[in-house]
Amino acid sequence: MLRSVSSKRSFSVASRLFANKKHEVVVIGGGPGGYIAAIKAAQQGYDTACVEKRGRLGGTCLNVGCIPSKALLNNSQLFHQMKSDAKGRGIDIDGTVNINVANLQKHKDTVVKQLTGGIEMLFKKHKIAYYKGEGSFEDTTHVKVSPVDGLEGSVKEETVLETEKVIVATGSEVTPFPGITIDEERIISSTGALSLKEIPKRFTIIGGGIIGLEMASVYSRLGSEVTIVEFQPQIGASMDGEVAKATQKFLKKQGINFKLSTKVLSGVREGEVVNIEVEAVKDGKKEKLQADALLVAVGRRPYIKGLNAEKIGLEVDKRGRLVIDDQFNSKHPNIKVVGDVTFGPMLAHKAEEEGVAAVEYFKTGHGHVNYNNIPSVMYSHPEVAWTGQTEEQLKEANIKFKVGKFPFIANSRAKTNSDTEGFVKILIDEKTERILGAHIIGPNAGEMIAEAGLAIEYGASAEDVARVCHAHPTLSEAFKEAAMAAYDQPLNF
Amino acid sequence: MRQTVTKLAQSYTPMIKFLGKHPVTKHPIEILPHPCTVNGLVPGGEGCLNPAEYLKNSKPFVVVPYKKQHASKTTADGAISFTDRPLQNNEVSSIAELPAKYRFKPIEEKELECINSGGVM
Repeated sequence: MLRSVSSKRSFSVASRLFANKKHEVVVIGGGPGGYIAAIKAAQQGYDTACVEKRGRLGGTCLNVGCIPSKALLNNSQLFHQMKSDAKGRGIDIDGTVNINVANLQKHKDTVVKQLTGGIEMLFKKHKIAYYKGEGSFEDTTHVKVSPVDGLEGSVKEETVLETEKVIVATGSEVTPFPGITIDEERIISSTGALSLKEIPKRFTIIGGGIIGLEMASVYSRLGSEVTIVEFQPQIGASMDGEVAKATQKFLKKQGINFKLSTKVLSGVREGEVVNIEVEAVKDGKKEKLQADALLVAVGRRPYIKGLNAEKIGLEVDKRGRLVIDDQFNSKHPNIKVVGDVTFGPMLAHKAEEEGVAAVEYFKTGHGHVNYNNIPSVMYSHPEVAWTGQTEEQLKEANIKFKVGKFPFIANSRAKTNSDTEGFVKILIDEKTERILGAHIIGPNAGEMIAEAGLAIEYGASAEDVARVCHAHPTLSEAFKEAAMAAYDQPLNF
Repeated sequence: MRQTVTKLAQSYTPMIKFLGKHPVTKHPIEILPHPCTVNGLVPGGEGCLNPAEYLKNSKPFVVVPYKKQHASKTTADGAISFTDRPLQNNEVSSIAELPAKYRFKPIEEKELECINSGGVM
């Protein structure tokens, strides 16, 4: 099949009559993929518009995802540290340290508001037309913006935007669990988990992926008795096997309980409690649990509701992802798709990379995303971060590799911070010693993984990294030592 | 001092190979599947589904407030609470809409006087 060189224009008489605005690029969706694509398009000189129906830019990430969860994770960790760690560090607290849930939520909301406001300022700076309303296709070159009831600032009437190029970035939504009704009070999704008005005494989480584990960390620190129920035999989604085991170990030490290889049969709210029935996958043994709150965190799915994608013949796969080619093109070369609504990991930074690449494809005919080097981070404490290949993936691909590992207990900076849980693990090609994957459990793992990403992108060998001077005392020295351990020997372990 | 440092930097040959300026990459004309797709799915290819059909068959994500799920038939003091619903066949919304024979008979002047004076005749 060959690519179409020019875009096909299909006429809609209704659109011709009602088209009242014209833009060169229209982005549907104002999340990380969409707003970044809009800014990039404006920077490339396109007259750009962005349509968003939430009422605030930033998508799931800024409003009910990455940002609010990180605020809660940071503040709950500070609280936990003050309560449990202060004395040993020589800090005497006169009185008690308590959590003020209302203020915890207020701080989180303030951060979210500042960031979403910041994106609006960026839109103003780049002269991007921002339409508050629901975007849908009239045809391949006309996008209708419909008013949203009760939305402040929504377009007052249907507005049709005529355009040459469209980028669809409508994101994803929570995947419901069959048979469990979410009320966002006692039976909650991740959105509700970020806005709980009280700390539940018993908190059960369905799903041992990143979202479930992060929320488990927050509420465990705040005093909840947390149980994670996971269908698979291990937690952590796409984590390296050794890292997943080590992660479960440190989370268990922090008081989080796990029921792995366990299926949830039902979850029903009765008044102020939730009754849950589970079944062990191995032997079918049933068990009844009770919780004060139940979090359903079994994943997310692409969001295409209201887009009218079928009107212009866009297609989805069996998981609802809009089908695109290697240049983000849908069936129509003037309509590209990026982010959670299409293939690939559902990560904000992946959506951002695609947003930039999609615009670059429009402008120059070339864009670039390296899907073998998209980092993942879990913001527990210690953090867990990884990029590139896991041991399991390399074994499956029959690639011979060597492992270099360095524990933070041997790192000076970690020692000074009394924060030594974790290790750096680097996987390198057996022959060329090129870095194939990096996995970190430790303080600031999320920051450190950027060095690994850069090394992988440049095709660096373990020796290349080891021969770069890393400042002392820093946590990044552990990365250097792991590289040394991979091709030679570490010096400090 | 600064000149020496600059000369040292200039004479150093990095062990990492410097790739130079990004080359211009030409993309093939053929449509290639996205790197993250499975089974080589491409737009217009076999295995693609209609979004409307997909949405019809998938359960929407809805939040149902608990009070709405368990709306009680009686209020706390035992009075009956009414739930709003559309009229069904042969129903009217007011007695005034009933045929005349089913409406209340108008109250006579004498009876009105009696009621207003406390029921004493």
